[in-house]
Amino acid sequence: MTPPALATVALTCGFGNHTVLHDVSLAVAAHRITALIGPSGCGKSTLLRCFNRMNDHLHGFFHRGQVLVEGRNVYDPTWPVEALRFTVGMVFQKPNPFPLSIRENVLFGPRLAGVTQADALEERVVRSLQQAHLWDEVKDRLHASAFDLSGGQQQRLCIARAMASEPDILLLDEPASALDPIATAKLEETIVALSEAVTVLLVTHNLQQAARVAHRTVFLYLGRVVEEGETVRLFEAPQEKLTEEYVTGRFG
Amino acid sequence: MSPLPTRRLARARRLDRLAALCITGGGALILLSVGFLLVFLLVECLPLLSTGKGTPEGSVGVAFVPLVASEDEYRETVAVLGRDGILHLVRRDGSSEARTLEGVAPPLEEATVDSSGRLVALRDGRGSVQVWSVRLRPSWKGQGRGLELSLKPVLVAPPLKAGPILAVAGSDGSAGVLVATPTGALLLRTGSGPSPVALDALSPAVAGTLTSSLAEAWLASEGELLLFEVGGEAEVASLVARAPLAHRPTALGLVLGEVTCLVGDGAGVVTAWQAVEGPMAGLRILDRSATFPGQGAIRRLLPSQRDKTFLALRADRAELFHLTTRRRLFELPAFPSRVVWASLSPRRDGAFAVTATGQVHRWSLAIPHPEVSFSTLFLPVRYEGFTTPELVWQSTGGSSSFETKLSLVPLIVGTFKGALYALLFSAPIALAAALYVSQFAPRRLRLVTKPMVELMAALPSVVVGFLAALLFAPLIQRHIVAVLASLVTVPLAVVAGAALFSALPRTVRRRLPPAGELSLVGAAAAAAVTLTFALERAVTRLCFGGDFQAWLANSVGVTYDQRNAVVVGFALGVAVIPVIFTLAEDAFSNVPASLISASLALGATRWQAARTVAIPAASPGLFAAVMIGLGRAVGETMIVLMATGNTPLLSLSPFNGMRTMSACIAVELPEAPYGGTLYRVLILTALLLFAVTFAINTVAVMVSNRLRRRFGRLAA
Amino acid sequence: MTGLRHWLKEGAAQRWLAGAALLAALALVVGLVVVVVTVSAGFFWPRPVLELQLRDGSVVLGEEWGREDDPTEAGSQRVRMKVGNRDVLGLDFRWVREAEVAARRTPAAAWLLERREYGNFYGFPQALRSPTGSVAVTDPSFQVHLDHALAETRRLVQEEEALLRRASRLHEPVARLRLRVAAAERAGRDAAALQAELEAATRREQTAAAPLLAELAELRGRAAAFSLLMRTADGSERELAVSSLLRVVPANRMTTGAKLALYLSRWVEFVSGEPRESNTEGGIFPAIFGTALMVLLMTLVVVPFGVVTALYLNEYAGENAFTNAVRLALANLAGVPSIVFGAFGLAFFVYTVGGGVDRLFFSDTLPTPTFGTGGILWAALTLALLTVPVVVVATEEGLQSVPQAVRDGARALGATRWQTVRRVVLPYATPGILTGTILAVARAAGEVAPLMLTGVVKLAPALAVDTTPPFLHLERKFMHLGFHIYDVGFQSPNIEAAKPSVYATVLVLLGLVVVLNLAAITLRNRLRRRLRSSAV
Repeated sequence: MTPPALATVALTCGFGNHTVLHDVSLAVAAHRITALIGPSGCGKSTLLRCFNRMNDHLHGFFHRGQVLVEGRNVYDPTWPVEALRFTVGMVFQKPNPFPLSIRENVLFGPRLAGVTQADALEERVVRSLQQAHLWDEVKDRLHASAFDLSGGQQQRLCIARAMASEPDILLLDEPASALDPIATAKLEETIVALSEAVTVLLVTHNLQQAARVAHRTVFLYLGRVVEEGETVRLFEAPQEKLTEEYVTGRFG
Repeated sequence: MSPLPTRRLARARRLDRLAALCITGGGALILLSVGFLLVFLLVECLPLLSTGKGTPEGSVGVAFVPLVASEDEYRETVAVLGRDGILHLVRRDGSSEARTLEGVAPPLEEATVDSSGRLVALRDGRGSVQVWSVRLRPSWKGQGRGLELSLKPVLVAPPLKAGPILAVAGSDGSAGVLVATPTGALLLRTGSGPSPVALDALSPAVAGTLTSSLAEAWLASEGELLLFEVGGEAEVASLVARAPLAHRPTALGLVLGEVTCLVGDGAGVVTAWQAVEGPMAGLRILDRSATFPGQGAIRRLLPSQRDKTFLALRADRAELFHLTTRRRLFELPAFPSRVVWASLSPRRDGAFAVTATGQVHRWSLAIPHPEVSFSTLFLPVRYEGFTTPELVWQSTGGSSSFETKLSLVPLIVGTFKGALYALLFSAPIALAAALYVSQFAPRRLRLVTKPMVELMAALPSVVVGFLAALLFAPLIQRHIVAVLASLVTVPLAVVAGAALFSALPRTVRRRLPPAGELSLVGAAAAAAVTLTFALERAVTRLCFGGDFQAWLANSVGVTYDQRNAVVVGFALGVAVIPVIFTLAEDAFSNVPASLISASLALGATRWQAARTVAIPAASPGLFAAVMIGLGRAVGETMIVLMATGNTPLLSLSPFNGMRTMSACIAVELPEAPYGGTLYRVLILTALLLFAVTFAINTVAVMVSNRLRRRFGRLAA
Repeated sequence: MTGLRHWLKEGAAQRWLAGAALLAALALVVGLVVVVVTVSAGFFWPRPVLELQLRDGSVVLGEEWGREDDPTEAGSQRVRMKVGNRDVLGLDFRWVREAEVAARRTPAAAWLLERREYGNFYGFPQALRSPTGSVAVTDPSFQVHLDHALAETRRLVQEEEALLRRASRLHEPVARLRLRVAAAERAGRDAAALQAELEAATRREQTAAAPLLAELAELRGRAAAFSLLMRTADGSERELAVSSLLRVVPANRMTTGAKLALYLSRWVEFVSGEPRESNTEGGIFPAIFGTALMVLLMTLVVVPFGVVTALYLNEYAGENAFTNAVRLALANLAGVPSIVFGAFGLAFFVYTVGGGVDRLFFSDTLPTPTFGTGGILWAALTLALLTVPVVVVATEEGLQSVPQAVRDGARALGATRWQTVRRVVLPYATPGILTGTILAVARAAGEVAPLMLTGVVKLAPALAVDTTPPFLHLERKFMHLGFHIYDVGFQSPNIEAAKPSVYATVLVLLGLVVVLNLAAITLRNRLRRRLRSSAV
């Protein structure tokens, strides 16, 4: 049996004296879009960042339990963190393009991975931008600065950049929160299309977005997994009372 | 999924670790640099603390009875005159050469040597007193260095009924020897003038010494010290001054420079005496300037030919003292007994002693900086020629026998004098300007002032100092009255202008743009300045009799230097204003606008809001700003060099100059020989400057933290 | 009284006083710059040559150089006249009291001659002597002959100078050998072989130099054939060699265009020429070159050092005692007076390190120091230590302008910390690094005190970069703009004559510093605007 794309086993973690996640165990299926929902401060982003070890950069981070990517412990000493990040890509809340051209932004990851041949690079550029649904808009200005793009375009550029490293998993941390509704719709379209190539784990505080886009949903509250399952079922027939209260808007 | 590029990754990780190491090392390098700077400077001035030491270099035996001896410059040969009337040149390895003194009948009764070691006075077996010149000159033959001895008689006197030889001095052409008589002493001399010259002391002299010019002679009788002047043609020396001695004297010596006479007594105490101007004009008195306590009667006092060090020979030991620092340096180790003669080497890098048993002992001496001690650096010192202890900085003089005066106090006082005058001028202006820009001025004005102040900060201090010295100092000197008066008239005019402005109807005032009000302020100030300068001549004639500088000199007794503390304060102020202004303005802008708005909403005027809210809240930053400005003024070099007279005066008057630590280092360090006393003292000064600025910055941070804690609640 | 209390509470007086303080501060900086610019800019502008006939019958010819109140006679003034002719009169300047002046004219025929030695000459041209004969000033072809004579002698002088340079280059190996022989003898070593080498080298030099010297003599002879006969104010005649003239200025007959051309040419000569008359005249090119080279060397050291430190503090440092210590050390370094750096530079770099280098590599020329004395390398290192905090602060500002999200993005793509710094952070922070470099350069151009201890000199015999190997001579002393101001302004024997040169140097230095700082300020503003806009 193939291991799940992402999994945690009894994961407890936090910063300094403050524990954020308590005994979280979940599995994320491959080639699906899974949404993490929950009120502010419940630990969604922290959980997301566990999978590519971005929490390590924050002061005072501690963890207990296991975090597994494709069945392998991310803290395995024989697995360098840079190699992990070639497998697990991330897109952030606000677009963060580099002060480089569009083309160079996309090629950042492949260059790190050692791709040097011109045709291989060219192919990556085209494929990633197509996957990000950005190719048509930028194909004749690849050398323009990334800052010339609109907010929504920049976010898609960030997706293209993440996809250029050919990861198996893509982590998205509230990717549409800085975008207007039209750009958000475009983005969601792109995310859905991506799930054929990669596993997507999406953090969102927008329940409608989760309902639109995700196959499965996980509801987190105060650092614990309250409920998880097929999105449709979770929204329409939640098993936990807390879940019901959240999805009906009683708090959040 | 793309294949994991393991080798490339491994290389990237290695590079990452290397980069982290290098960059962390770079950060550490800063720490190391500052630490190294401090430590290095400290180490360079540590040798100032040592009083030196002597190391015995063994002895060689000779087969005759030594009387007196002297050493050559290079410490290779000791020329010993034996009782056998022969001059033996004893080398280090023990070999010796002998030269007979023609016309001298052995056995010699007694002998003595002058302070330079070149003249020997002896009384031979027939009682004839003779003076011989003994010169050991280095000569270079081919590869090696040899010693040439020139030995000749300079004075041969017929047998004389007189007491022991007291002293000999002079040169090859004109030598003199002092012999004791029942009534004092007799000076026998060559050259022009009568010989002998009688020195009447009314009691026999027990010790005596002569200056090398043979113009003055000091005698010590049982209870008195007397100074005689030997004139050109008189047969009797005139008594210049006398002073009673506490104990029976046993030895006399003249410190290099021949200003101070040392008196050693039977109790073991050495006192230093100099002749100073007495209460009436033309009268000189003997003044005791130093006392060196000790145990064991003094047998001889041997001064150094290099500096103010001297060797005090007692029965069983010899000690080195230094006059200026008034301290005992050390004792010669392993000193033999029954020493007949001892002395310091000409270059003061060694000492030797000859014993009655025929041994010639040598020591090497390492005395790096005898003329400096904590008390000479920081406390008043009684220098030669002075009647009271003074704080003086004078590092070089005309002759080699000059007494170096290295007191850091005038420099420290000068530094702070300049800095405080600078703060007096710049702190009020900078703080008030910062207050105006942050609390009263429109936003646009801030955009103009910030770059202008930054430009002011960027002005090279050499340019500011140049303009201050060459343009402003003469200008201020010509118009000192107007300048000083403006300090009063301009604020008055501004206040008056403010009153007039407030008297205008509110509608008129409100219609004026903020920049307009500022131009009115400028107009008032400009009018005041113009009026002051226009009326200057009349006022000077009225109040100061037409010439302010003359009035100052006559009525107040203060001289006016063109380059004085006012000019320096002004010039330093130009350098310091941008520092204080920038920090103060930052402090004001960090006060939360909400606090000010709250105060204004309660009906306070801008001024009241500023006074009750902004200033207290910003006070930590304001204090830090002024302290940092002080630190900057303390460390400034070029402006002080150019705008002061650079005279190391110790005076608080604003109308004369000063020398600061930084200017002194800049001017004197390049010329100071590496490793010498002046060099190390200047390095110590640099260290002191560092410590002062460090202290000022630390105090600024500490006090501003405490104030922040007290007033920070406002800003919280 | 309550009206007064109320008015004080209102604060108009306090506001006005504070405003006056601000105006005073601004007036200081503006006034300083304006004074420098007006005084300096005016010095090179050609002035008329005046002829003053005094009541006692004597005549004074020269330029008016300043006025002040006559101290001996209230209400009247006295004029300082620059009469030049130092080789005849002994002094350049003299005071003439207005009361003494009977008549004042500007004679059209009066000329000002700028010379290589002895400063200016004021007089009336009479005739020109050349190999082809004598031409009187009244002759219509006089000007043509004069121009030709000037051009010819200028060419001859240039050839002379080239010959002299070649001759001095020939001498260098001999001078070096001589030093080594002397050092060997002093140390007691056998110098026979060196002595023989020295003799051979001297012979070689003499053979090579002989034709040069012959040619030199010939050139000088040819140049001496041209001379200009001038009549001075008192009627006596002087014959001046045309080769000693730099410029011939018919001061009272110049059009504005000609005056402007002369003004500009004087500035060009100032910036590109060599100094004369112990730095009171001529150009400051060596000082400009010395300043530039020293600053360049300093930059090569301080920029890596400063950038690395800023990187450490911003990217690699944790919140621990070591980081606090580094920050404290940096703050202290920024507060240390510059003269303390100079003392350290002298004690450590010059005496300790330089002395060590001499003992290891240059022991054959000891005790004459090579590196054990001040030089451009030690000065550059000392100033590098001084300006490190400037570079660090500006670089840190640049690094802090990089949004954390950008760093996170790079790390999330699998970049190591170093790769993130090199590929993303540093390019982003380049404006900050550049700002820091510019500020450091401006600081170093104006800082004089530490240089006085580590290698700046009044007159450098040679530039630190020249055509003799190893081409870059790091041990040579150098000239510096700031020091030039101090030295010529305060240690010069003839301060009045030196004034134009010093003020012009002040203008050049001030201009340089202002331009650099404005560039840095603009860069920094652009950086801050980017920071504010990216913090969306």
